[in-house]
Order: sequence, then structure tokens, then C-alpha cells
Amino acid sequence: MKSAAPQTRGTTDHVAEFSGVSKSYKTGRVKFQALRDVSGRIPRGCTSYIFGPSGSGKTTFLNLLGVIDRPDAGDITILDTPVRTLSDSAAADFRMQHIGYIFQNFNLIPVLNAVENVEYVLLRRDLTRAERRDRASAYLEKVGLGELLKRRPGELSGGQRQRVAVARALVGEPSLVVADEPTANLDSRTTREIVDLMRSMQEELKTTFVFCTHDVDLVTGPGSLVHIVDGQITHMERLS
Amino acid sequence: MIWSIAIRNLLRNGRRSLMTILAIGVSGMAILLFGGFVTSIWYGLQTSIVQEQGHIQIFKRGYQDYGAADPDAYTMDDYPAVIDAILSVPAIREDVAVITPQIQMGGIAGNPEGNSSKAFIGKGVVPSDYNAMRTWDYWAQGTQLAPVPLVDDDPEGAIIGVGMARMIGLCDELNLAQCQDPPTADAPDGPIDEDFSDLVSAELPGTAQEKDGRPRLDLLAASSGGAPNIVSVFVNAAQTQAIRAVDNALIMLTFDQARRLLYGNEPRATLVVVQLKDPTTLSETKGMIAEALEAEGLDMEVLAFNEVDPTFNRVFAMFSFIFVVVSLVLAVVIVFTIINTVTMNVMERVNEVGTVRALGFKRFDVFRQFMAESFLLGLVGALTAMALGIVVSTQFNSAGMQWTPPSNAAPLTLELMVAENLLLVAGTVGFLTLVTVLSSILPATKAIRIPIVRALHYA
Ligand SMILES: Nc1ncnc2c1ncn2[C@@H]1O[C@H](COP(=O)(O)OP(=O)(O)OP(=O)(O)O)[C@@H](O)[C@H]1O
Ligand SMILES: [Mg+2]
Repeated sequence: MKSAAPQTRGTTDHVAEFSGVSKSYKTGRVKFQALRDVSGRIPRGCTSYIFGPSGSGKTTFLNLLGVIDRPDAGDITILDTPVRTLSDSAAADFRMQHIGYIFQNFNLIPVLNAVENVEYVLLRRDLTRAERRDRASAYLEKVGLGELLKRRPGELSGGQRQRVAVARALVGEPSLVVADEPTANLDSRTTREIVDLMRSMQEELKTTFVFCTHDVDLVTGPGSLVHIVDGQITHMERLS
Repeated sequence: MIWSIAIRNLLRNGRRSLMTILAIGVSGMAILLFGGFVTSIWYGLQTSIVQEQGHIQIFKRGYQDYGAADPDAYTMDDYPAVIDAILSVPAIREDVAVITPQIQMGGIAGNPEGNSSKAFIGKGVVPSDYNAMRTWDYWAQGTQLAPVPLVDDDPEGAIIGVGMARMIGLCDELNLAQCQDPPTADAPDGPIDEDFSDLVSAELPGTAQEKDGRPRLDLLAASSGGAPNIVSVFVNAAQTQAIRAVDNALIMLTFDQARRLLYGNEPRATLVVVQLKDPTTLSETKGMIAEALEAEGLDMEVLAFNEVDPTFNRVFAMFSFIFVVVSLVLAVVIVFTIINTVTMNVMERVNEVGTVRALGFKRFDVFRQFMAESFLLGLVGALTAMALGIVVSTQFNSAGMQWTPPSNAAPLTLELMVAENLLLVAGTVGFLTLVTVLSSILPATKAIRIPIVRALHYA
């Protein structure tokens, strides 16, 4: 895979490109190679599934893609920005502007209610209080929580919490949303609902979603599949 | 949103926040109460010194350094001129409560009855002025000194220290409790005594031994010319003085009588004492007085009460030092309490730290959030301290206790002046808040240093 000549953000057909990326973890003296020499592209404007068995390196891959971790070797370009060399502060700005997160454990701020949790990520934006509130409410409406704006996370079910998290990930209108096993803590029915929600949001907003899972049932087209085994991409395919 | 998150997080850990606030509150209260005590010392001690010595004392230049060796050379020659020069400035005159001349002297006192004699320290005061000074109470300390039993109309009246009375053999005559005249039988009549008796009988022939039942003392001193002179005084009372050496030697007599003894009719005095109405203008007024005297060509030294006698500064410095030590010790307690609380708050929220950082907030944003929470904790704790300090001090003060500080003769009202000392209250509130915020820097820094990926997986 050769990368095209650098172009303006938004015109390339992919949002991210990995080339020769390695990442290892050290536990005491033991070094564990979680990703080895990974290269590949994440296509723009669709859902990509990172699929693989437990311990294969999916989370590691997603952390690098989400710019919350750095590779030991290799280059990562996201939205035409080489992210490996970004300073901590620049990386934070980059995440704030371009990346949305959905976590396995929802990770809502417990003292904030639903709408405040969504609003929270807009704090750094140049918006008035009212604009923030309106936009956050609108996104909660989209994910079907228009009635529960004032509920705190502790007063919501797991599925509802993850809906808040989806709204939070999308409210900043990022180019890329990463979700690390967002349904792992949900029952099968709720899992379906959340997957459908993410899919419909993806279709509505044309945002790129990257979603890692080891549940093959969740992998349905359209989109693309990245198969990881033992820290290496074994194959990539288009799903339709 | 930072503040509302801060408040909610503190409420979320209600019990822990409450315990921390109480720890700050109680430590802070202790600081305030002790500070209130030191404040009270400042006002009380200053009041009692000013009642005794006035605010400003004016001497002929050189008296402080050399006067003891040659008092005559360093006595002002025209005290009315000094007083006039001072009072001629309207700004000073308005602020003067009392302005009065005094004479400080030394000599030998003889008790004609007991035929004994002793060196004395003499203090000549204008009784009405001196007693007026003793009522000064600008800060409403409620501790006026009792007037001394001297009156202007009776220039021969005097009071003496109880030690003086004992040594010169006036205990019985003055009906003093716990005072015994010296054993008389074997008291050898020294040469001084003989000379002294001769002198007295030569100078004061036919003076009554007593007047209105008051025992007589004959005072011998070197007059301006150097020739010895003698006057008699009649002892109205003996009063205990704070300093033993003074108690053993003091004779307080009227200014007129002292002047007659030393200077005849010359308008001379050792010093002029000025007591101000408003003590806060002290240094300003002192400067104006110095200028006024200089303008009149009077070469005087003008000294504030704490320059003449450093006791005030020393006592206040001692208590201030203890205050600082107590405050620091309590600050250490607060520091450990806060570090403990904030560490718990922070460690529970490592995952949240990872989350908000993943969402694009910077380390500093997170740090600021923790600081805001500590600031609130510190501020509420400090305000609690303030409330406790004011309530407890008010309760305490209503009990109206008294105490006698070192180097004081009369007791002061033991008051904890907390509410009255805005600087103390504001300073303590600021100090407690600052200590709280500073103490949380370490745990907060620890939390924001954890890499995002690890923070997200923190159990
Ligand atoms: N912080 C870490 N320290 C040490 N080893 C780690 C760390 N994170 C991951 N690993 C190891 O790296 C390998 C890849 O981990 P990763 O979390 O990327 O796998 P995964 O595919 O997400 O697995 P799962 O499906 O169980 O979430 C695993 O063997 C894991 O034990
Ligand atoms: Mg994983």
C-alpha cells in the first residue's frame, strides 16, 4: 500500500494510514510485542471493524488510532497529520477537534447529568452556553434520550449510558469515532440496539467509525474489516 | 462548569469533604483564637503602657545616652517653651490628649522617725495630668488604671513603692499588709545617716513629723548648682510596682515639689510626655512634633513609647513568634489532612482523568479541576474556621477574664480579639486556602502524569 501524495484533509479516501507500526509493552523485564510492523489504511466515511481474538492487539491498535498512545516504531498519519511527532498538548488539541471516543465502560463523568456529559466536550469550543446546551440536547435527541437529559449516569441503564457516550462522541462533529468494544458490557438485545444506533448515526453523519470487537456477529456490512491476529493484520476486506 | 463539577464532587464524597473541612476549620479556629489573643496583647499592652508613659516622650538631646551620668546637663531648660512649640501646631494640638512635664531624679530619702535613709528614684509628675493619662482607653479595653493618690493642691504629697516603705521603715505607719519594717535594734547609724540628720535639721528646722497622719520623708538631692538641697514630702500611700528594683526605690512626688528640690524656680524638666487621642497617628504626629521643635530651635529628641522602653516590642515579638510557630504546626496538620483527602479524591478518579484527557482535554485542564476542588475545600474550611473563631472568641470574651502579662503591674482584660482584627481573619482565611491548594498540587500532579492508556484501565 503506497500512500497518495499529501492532499488536503477530506479529499483522500482514507482517514488514517499506518506504516510499519510496532508497539510493545514491558511488564517488569518481559517485553511483549503487541503490534508488529502493521501497515494499512482506514477508509473514510464508513465503519471499519477491527476484529480478532482476545489479546491480539485490537485495543493497542485503536489507542494508536485515537492518538492516546504512541508507537515504538513506524508512522501513523491521521487526517493527513503525522501524529507520532505531535506534542502532548498538540495531540490533545487534535483529539478534541477530530476524534470521538466510545468506551467499553461508558466512562461518563458521574457527577454530570446526561446533557452535561455531552456538553462537556464542547467546553473548549467557541460556543455560548445556550448553543452548547442546544447542541448537546439535539444529539441526545438523535440517540433517543431526549426525555432523559437530566439523569445522571447512575440513574441510567447501561444501554442508555452508552447512548449518552455515543452522543458525546459525535457532538463535536469529529472526523473519526473510535469505539473499543462498546457493547462488551451490554446484554445481547442492548448490544444490537447500540450497534444499530452507531450504524444509523454513521449513515446520517457520514462520520468514519472504527469499532473493535471479537464478536463476529457484530461485523456486518457495509464497511470494511481489519483482521488482527497476534499483533499483525492478517487480512483486510470490504464488506458490502 | 469547572466549579459546578468541583462542588458536585465535594458533595459526592460528602463525609470525606466534611471531615476535611472540619479539620481545616478546627485548626484554623486555633490559629484565629491564638491570633486574637496576640492581638489583644498588642492592644492591651499598648494601652497599659500608654496610660503610664504616654505615646511620645521628649527629652533634651543626649538624655537617653548620657543623662544618667549627668542628669543636670541633659535637662531641658524651658519646658513651657517645648509645650508651647508643640501646641502651636493646630494639627498636633487637636490630637493631644495630655501634654505634661515630668522630672526623673535620684537622691537620698530619710525617714526622720526611724532615723533611716535610703537612695531613691524620684519621679515628679503633675498629678491631674498623670491621672488623666491613666484613663486613656482608645480601644475600649476597659482596663483603666486607678488614679494615684496625688492631687495638684497638695504639692507635698507623695507615694512610694512598697519595697521602699519596707526598707525605710514605714510599713507600720502606712498599715501595709505583708510588709515588715526592718529590725531596728542593731541598725548601725552609718556616716551618711548622721550627716543626713544634721543636714535635715539645718535645712528644715521645725518641720512637723507628720501631716494629716501621713509620715514625712526628707529628700536630699543635688540641685542644679551642684549644692545639696532638701525638701520634705508626706507619704499618701505605698503602691506595689511591677519591677522589683523600682518598687524598692520609687518615690513619686508632685512635679512642683521635685522642681523645687532640683531647680528652684527655673522652668526645667527632664521630659515632656505627650499622650495622643488617636494612637494610629503616632508616627505622623511624632514627626510633626520633631519638626515643630526644630523650627523653634529646640534641640530635643522625640521618642515613641516603644523606643524609650523596648518592652512592648519584645513582648509583642515573643507572642508573634509563638503565633507563627503555632500556625506552622497547624499548617502541617492541614497539609497532611489535605494530601490524604485529595489523594483519595484523585485516585478514585484516575479513570475519569484518562477519559477527559482522551476526549481532548489537557493535563492542565485536569489539574485545574483538582485545584478548583481543593480551593473550594480550603475556602469552605477557612470560612468554617472564621465562623468558629468568631463564635468561640465572642463566647470566651463574655466571660471577662483577666491576666497579667510579663512586666505589667496591672492585669489586662483577657480578650480574644478575633472579629476586631480584620487582617488576622482575612490573613488566616487566605493562609488556610493557600495551604489547602498547595497541598493538593502533589497528588493532582501524580494523577495527571499517568499515561492516558494506563489511566483508562485503572481499576
Ligand atoms: N499496558 C499493558 N501492559 C502490558 N501488556 C499489555 C498492556 N496492554 C496490552 N498488553 C498486552 O498486549 C497484548 C495486546 O493487548 P490488547 O489489549 O491490544 O488486546 P485486545 O486485542 O484488545 O484484547 P481483548 O480482546 O482482550 O481486549 C495482550 O497480550 C496484552 O496482554
Ligand atoms: Mg481490547
